[in-house]
Parts: sequence; C-alpha cells; structure tokens
Amino acid sequence: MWRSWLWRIAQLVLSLICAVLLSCALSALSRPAHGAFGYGQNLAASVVDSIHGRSGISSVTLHPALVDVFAAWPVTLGLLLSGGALALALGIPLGILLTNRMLLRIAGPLIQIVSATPLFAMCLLFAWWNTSALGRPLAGVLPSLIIGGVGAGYLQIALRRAVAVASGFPHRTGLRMMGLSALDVDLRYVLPEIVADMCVHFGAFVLVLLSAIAIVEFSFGIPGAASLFFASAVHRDWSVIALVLLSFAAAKLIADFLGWAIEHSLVKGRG
Amino acid sequence: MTQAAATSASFRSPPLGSIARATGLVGLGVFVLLIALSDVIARAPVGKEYHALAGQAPSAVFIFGTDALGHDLFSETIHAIAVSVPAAVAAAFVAIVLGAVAGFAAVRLPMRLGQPARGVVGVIGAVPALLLAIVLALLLSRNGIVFAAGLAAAPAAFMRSFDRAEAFADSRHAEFARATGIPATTLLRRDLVYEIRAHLISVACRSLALATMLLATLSFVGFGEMTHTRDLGRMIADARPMYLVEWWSLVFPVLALMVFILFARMAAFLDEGEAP
Repeated sequence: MWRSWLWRIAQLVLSLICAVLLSCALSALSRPAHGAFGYGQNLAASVVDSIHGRSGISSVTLHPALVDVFAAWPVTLGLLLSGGALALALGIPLGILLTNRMLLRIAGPLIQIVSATPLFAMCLLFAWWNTSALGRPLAGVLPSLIIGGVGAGYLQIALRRAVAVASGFPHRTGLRMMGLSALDVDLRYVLPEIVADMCVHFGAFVLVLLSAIAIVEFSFGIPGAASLFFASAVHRDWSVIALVLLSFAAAKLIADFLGWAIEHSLVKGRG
Repeated sequence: MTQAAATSASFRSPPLGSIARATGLVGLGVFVLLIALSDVIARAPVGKEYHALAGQAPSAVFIFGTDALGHDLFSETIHAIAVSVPAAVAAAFVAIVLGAVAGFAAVRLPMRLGQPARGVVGVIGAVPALLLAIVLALLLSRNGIVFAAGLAAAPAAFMRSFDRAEAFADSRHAEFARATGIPATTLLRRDLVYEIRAHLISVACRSLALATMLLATLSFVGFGEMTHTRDLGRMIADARPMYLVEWWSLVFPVLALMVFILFARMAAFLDEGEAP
C-alpha cells in the first residue's frame, strides 16, 4: 500500500515542479530578450529566482508579484469555499433526485438548456435579476450562488454516474443473498463505493469551480485572483500572469491528490 | 468503452439518444445553411447603422430591434453567427488534431513516453481553459485567437482520448496482435479507425461546443479577434452597458449562441449537465 502512496506523492511533486517550470517559462517573458538564446537566459534566471523564492516584480504595481497575488487570493478563496459549500448543498440532493429516471426525463431538457448557456450570459441574467425587488436581498451572495450552481451541475452528474456504477456491482446481490438487508448493503458497501468514486473527481470539481470563479469575478468586478489575471493580461504583466496560473494549477493538482488520498483510504477501509 | 462512457450510455435509452443526436445534427445543419445564406437572409450589410432608429424594440420592421448605435440586430446576429461558427469549427479542428488524435497516438509512443506526455498535458489542463486561451492568445498575437482557443480546448480532448486509447492498448486484441508480431503502427491504425468510427461525431461536436463557448467568452472579456464583423461574444459584450434598458440587444445574440451550443451538445450526446 505504501508504494502507491509514494508513487502518488512523487506524481504530485513532479506535477508541481512541471507547473513551476511552465510558470517560469511565462514569467521569463517579462524580461527583455533578444532571440531564442536571450529567452533561454531569461528562463534560466527565472528558474533560479523561483528556487530562491523570488517571484518577479509586477510591471504594473511594481510590487513583488507574490504580494499582489497573495493579496487577491483571499477573495477567490472565499468564493471557492462558499461556492463549493453551496455546490455540495445543492448538487448532492439534486444528484440523488435525478437518479430517478422519471425525474431526470422531466428535468433533463431544462438542465441541457442551462448547460448550453455560457456562464457570462448567466451572470448578466442574474445581474439583471439582482436589480429587481426579488433579487436585491440576494445581492451579496449572488456570485457564490452562481459558482455553487455550476459546481452543483458537476456534482449531480458525478453522483449519478457513481450511483450507476455502484448499483451494477454483482456483490450487491450476493450480499443480499447472504441475509443482509438492502439498507445494510447500501450503507456499508454501496455508499463508500459512491463516496470513493466521487472523491476521484475532487480535482476536476475544483477546476470547474475555479473556471466559474474566473468568469464571475470578471462579470461582477470582484477583485480576486482571476480579476488580477485579466488586468495583468491587458498589460502583459507576465510575472503576475504566471503566478496566478501557477496558483490555480497548484490548487487543482493538490485537490486531485486529496481526492485520490480520500478515495484510497476508503478503498483500504473496505478491505 | 471506458467505465464513464458505459455509464453515460446507460443513462438514456438508445432511441431517445438517437433522436437527441439526430436533432442536434439537423440543428447544426440548419446553422450551416444559415451561414451559407447569411448575406441573403441578413437585410443590412455588416455594421450598417440606422441612426434615426437607434434603440428600437423588436417590431415588424426590425424583428430583433435595433441597438443603441442603430444596428439592425437581426442582420447583426446573422453576420455574427457567420463569424462565430466557422471560427469555432476551426478551433474544434485544432482541438481534435492536437487533442484527441495526439492523445490517441501518445499511448503508443516508444519508451513509455506517453505517460510523461499525459502528465505534462495534465498540468497544462489544470488551468481553467479560458485563462489558458488568454495566455495563448497573448503569445500568438490577436490574429491567433482561433488557434489559441483550439489549443486551450485540446488538453481535455487529449486526456479523454488518451484514457480510451489506453483501454485499447491493454485489450486482448492488442495483446494478441503484439504476440503475433503485428507492427505497432498497424495496430494504431486499426484502433484509430475504430475510434473514429465510434466516437468522431461525439468528439467533434464536444470540441465544437467547448470551442464555441471559449471563443465567445474570450470576446466577451475583451480578448477576442479584432475583426470588422463582430462575433456573438462581442455583440453580447457591446450590449452589456445598455441591456437593462434595451434587453433585446442582449437576448437575441445570447439565444443564438445558446441554441448553437445546445445543438452541438445534443449531437455530442452529452449527459445532462456534463461539461463539454
């Protein structure tokens, strides 16, 4: 068992190193260069700086890029956590409801239409709704609600797939024949299978939330990491761009690892 | 078939799935027709302004109304579709070649180089596709937006394709082929033919839906291609300051975009709520 842990930790470390190198390749663009050789020199300097924990200077604010990104992340983290919590609160009941084929047939077309609507259009629609008397009380939580809705959409499908896979396991029938009640089988054997299967998607879930956060921050003018990215992209502030991308990638990769670790523990727990 | 694909297929009964797919393909066909006849269907040329009739609500004369600058929104939407859809098709093609096909071929790379390649693509794909597209657009200059969107959509296609190809590579027929000395390239060709036959429409329409969303969002956030004709994303962005008063300037481009993505999703046979 420890071998798989070592292998997965090594994979995470290698992925993070790869992400840092790609980030260095971007931040090297912030230094003036002449030709490929000049860029190579800048890249080497950027890698050395990263090793020493230096992140480069923002060409817009003239602060260290790390300071700017750290200042913006709390807002994004707040949206990530609140959106994630809402996604769990909405997505799991929705997924359970939609495992019923009849309900899925009724709600399916609506879900397809909502899924086909670009998120920025959804943000504009909610911003319009926000101006009405009905929407005004929700003004503060609207960005989190939108992010939570996107996350819920992802979770419901992950849950339905996990349920479909788990309900097809042959040992379910075998355990029933051994005298266990349906509830016992579902709680002790099927539920951990479903939870484990969903944990595998934790990284993808975080990525979905981060993608939604990027558009929501832009649409509502929220000063988070994604807004910082858009502002930096306009000014080609590569040091900040590289660092924001690195932080997003690291969040997803770490979430991937955590999801695997929980799934692995559950699988081990089941013996 | 992967576990996820098998589960996805089991969600809907085949006749319902076939109807949805056929509807999606017919809908995409209608869009192609619309683009081919765009200059005939649109009454006003691109950018034509009726200053005296600015901000008109939908009526018998202007069925989608006019915007604050006096553009006939029906004609502008048709022209925008004629810009957005071909760009999305080109971006989807890039995503298919550099994502789906490359992912399929990567499994057969010598010295097990496929796994490191998957790892690197996995790291690139750990960044939201929109942000990746913006970075690539900055690197490739504003004329390379379509290519940038295709490249940004490629990691997702690469990973899915890689996982499917891995299942092929570990299958019994592959073991048998290797044992009997059939060359790896022949096996790859055979698997690719089966893959294309089984999944081409699905992969292509999925990439099309993603590329359309990406390109529209890029235009909306101000990183789209700077052409004379606006695409749907830019039309929506331009409508933003006035849409609380002139709702029609936003609704029709959004509807056009939404319907196209919906058809692409249906043709790709995506599950309810599944991201392209």
